[in-house]
Amino acid sequence: MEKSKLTEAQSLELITSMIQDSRARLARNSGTPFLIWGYTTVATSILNYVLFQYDVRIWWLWWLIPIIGWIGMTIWGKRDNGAKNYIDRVISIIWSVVGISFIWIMFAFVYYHAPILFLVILMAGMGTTMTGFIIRDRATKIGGIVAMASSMLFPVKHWLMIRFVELNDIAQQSEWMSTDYLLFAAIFLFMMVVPGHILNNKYNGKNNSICSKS
Amino acid sequence: MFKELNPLLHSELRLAVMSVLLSVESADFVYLREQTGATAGNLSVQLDKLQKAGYITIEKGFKGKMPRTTCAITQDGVAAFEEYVAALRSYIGKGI
Repeated sequence: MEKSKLTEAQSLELITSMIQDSRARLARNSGTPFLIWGYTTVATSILNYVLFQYDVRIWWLWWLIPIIGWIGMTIWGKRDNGAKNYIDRVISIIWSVVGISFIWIMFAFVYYHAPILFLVILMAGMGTTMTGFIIRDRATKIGGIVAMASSMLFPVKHWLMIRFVELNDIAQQSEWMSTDYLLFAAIFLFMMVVPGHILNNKYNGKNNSICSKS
Repeated sequence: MFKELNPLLHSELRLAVMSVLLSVESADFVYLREQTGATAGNLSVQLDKLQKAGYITIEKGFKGKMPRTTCAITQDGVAAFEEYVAALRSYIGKGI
């Protein structure tokens, strides 16, 4: 390799291909964290909804999301490709900040009755939107923006409930509120699962070795 | 008048290494070897040349118990690379 003589055009081609290959390699499995958190959240939400229908209310089941998510990220989510790039670092900072805000939201929910589903969707939607713009991926951008907009469905639904549901009818109120879990799952499906699959499909399986070109 | 191409960069493996390092903040030896398809010995020699020219930094450390060599491009390296690309364009732009 060292002794081969390069023409000017070959040099430019080599530079372009090396940069593109390196970027493509670093983008491999970039949808996996979305899939881990997305599927975990969707499954936990549906499980809670189903149990709710049988009058089983186990609030700590929501803790399955951070527990399973963390285990999943430890096993499948790490992407140490042997190189560090600026984009990965920025995205990591964004999700660290969003993750810390989730802990704050959970405390606010327990002690201040903060609207947890609305806030989680809004914050996760913001994180997804920023990620989408940074990695320049249309599906991720759309997923994030739609999720942020959809977060308003929770206050709207609450307003409709107050307006149309008899406040004394606890059973009806519970039934009405339990559908929030399905809405929550549907938004996460669109915000993380769909872009996650699209990202992995887009970047995985590319041949990145220069050997194939020489 | 054509600009002279930097002989240190006008070599397939060194140019490949500089291109990879330009696209990341830092990369380890294994990553560079896999990306360029070079042998460990040849890559090691070329990295040493680039480091002596002040184009890259090489840090030796550990990841767990495994030794790890990490390379990063320097500002001088970026400047030399930009100058090299400008020179290439002047050649290609003038039909050579």
